[in-house]
Amino acid sequence: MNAKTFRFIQSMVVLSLAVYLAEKWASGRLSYYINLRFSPLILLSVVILTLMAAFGLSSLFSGKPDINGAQPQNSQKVTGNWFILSFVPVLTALSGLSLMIFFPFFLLVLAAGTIRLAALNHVETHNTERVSKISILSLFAISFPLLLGVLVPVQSLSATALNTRGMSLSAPASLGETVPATLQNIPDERNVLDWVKIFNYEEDVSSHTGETAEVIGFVYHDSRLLSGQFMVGRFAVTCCAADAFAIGMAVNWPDSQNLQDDTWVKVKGNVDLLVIDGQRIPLIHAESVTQVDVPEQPYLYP
Amino acid sequence: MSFAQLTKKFRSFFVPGAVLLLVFLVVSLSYWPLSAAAWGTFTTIFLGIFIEAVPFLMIGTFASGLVEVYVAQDTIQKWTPKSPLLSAFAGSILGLFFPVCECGVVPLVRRLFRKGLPIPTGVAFLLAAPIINPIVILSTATAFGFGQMLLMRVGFALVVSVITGLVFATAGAPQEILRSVACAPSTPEEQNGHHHDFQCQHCHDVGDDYGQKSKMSRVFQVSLEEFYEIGRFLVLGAAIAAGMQTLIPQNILLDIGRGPVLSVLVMMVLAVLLSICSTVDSFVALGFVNIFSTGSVLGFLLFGPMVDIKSVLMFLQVFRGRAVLYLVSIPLVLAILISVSLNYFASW
Repeated sequence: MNAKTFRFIQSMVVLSLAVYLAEKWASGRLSYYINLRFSPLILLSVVILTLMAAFGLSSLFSGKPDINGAQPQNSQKVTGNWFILSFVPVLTALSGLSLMIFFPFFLLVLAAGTIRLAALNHVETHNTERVSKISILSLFAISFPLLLGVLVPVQSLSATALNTRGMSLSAPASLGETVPATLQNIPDERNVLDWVKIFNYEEDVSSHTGETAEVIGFVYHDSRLLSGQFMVGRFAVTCCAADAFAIGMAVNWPDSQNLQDDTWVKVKGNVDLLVIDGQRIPLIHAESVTQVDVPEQPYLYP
Repeated sequence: MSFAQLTKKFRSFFVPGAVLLLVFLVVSLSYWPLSAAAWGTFTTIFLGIFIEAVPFLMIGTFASGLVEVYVAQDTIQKWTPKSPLLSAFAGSILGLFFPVCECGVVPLVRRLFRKGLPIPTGVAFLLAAPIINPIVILSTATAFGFGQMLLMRVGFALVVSVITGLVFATAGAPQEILRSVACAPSTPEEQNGHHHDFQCQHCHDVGDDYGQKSKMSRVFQVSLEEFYEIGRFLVLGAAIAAGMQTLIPQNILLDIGRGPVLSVLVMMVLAVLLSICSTVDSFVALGFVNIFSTGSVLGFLLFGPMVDIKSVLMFLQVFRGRAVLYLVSIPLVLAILISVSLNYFASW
């Protein structure tokens, strides 16, 4: 691979990464991977990545060197064009337009670049500067996340992840956030995390037993529960999926055997106290368990 | 057809072939029922770490690009103190002015070494910057409050980084410690940016009398190169960390992790495995406060930002192998000593 081709691919991979991140942000799927309070940072990287690609491409294509390899002086216009061209697919992806709309723009940049590159390589037959194998490997490495992101079906963490982490019975309480704040919520607006916190940290939970809970979560059959019970769980994500921990409320539901792990359900019923391994957790005597779609934001943010 | 012709033909198909194979592998892993679920978990965790780290790596490579283009070698030599202790100390608080975390600090420190930054300063900066910087101090204070934990984290990070910096001060010439890409160039031609390491072909594209526009262009091109050079190790590290998280049960670790010594070791292993960015690790550490000893949580907060899978892999881009060994083991020993003795001698 010669140096120009290498540089072109380098820029295109970075541009694809920008488009990928922009699309994830626009479609709201970023929340499957990271805590959304970091999205401004992701947008910042989209901008910087695009600028890297834009400068990379325009330096590569700025003006056609003559046979002696000298750069012509009137190269500004071409540079500007490549600059704008790099931003088009990213901007269309950011605007939330569908894949069908921004992908052709991306292909356009790719095709235009390839043609230009072929012309360059044709003119510069003396350009024999080769790129080392290690550098080519680095292209593979940076493309790997892209490859996974595009090819593997997008999914949030599921009960499978619990094989190595288990469902935790207690939630960490940030010092900045005290339990009473969650108590002011109306009972049926509390989520799984709120309930677990209340039962973990309140001295006396008797005032909360008997309240009605209405929570959404995924089904998980925990070995610590009895038959006829299951956990309705959620992942709490502080930073990214790597630090996710699962918390859950026990649910009394005679038909629990027929619920598959990972099914998303809405559980409604009165709350009671359950003690497992000396840890107090909330238990719902379910009146209804209905299947629902995966929520827009599958994780809770502690 | 001769053998040479055959291998030549094979070579031209190597890259496209490898791409196709990789695509096939990824697709089959994600749709084969036996592996689909675990592979999906791996992918989500891997992309989580990667996406989270990209902005921080970007800030680091961008800062490095700025340093390359706008900071002259003399400037650094003028500003760094001559005595080893002072220069290590200066390095350890440099993070207050360059707020980068452990992903961003590597490219920046490498660039600064190229510009002639003394070794003790750079080493102390490398280890301390992920902790002693405004963003991390703020996030630690948010999680733990302005108190003991924050003071200990910052204070001991200072101690560990200065000591490690001093050890490196005795280590000899930069050429023996640093890889050649990180060494300060000696010839004036190279100092103009025309260093001929393997990925710098673009240098020829820019004239010597940089205009403001082409200076900016050069900043971004340097960051692009660096994004690849350092980023590939981020990818590798994130993949290993995600793989371990998908395969090794955490509860086993947590179950053995009681007692004043074991808890410290377990929390440090966990810090290395999780490879979380230091800007947010205090929120994660908070989750362990009730389960583990205070000393071990400090160990997590102290050692994790300095050393984890991805940062060790990235260190290898700056330092020679032996130096990396010291860079990992000195903080490791010091962090264990500090955390374990806290567990034994402090009472709370």
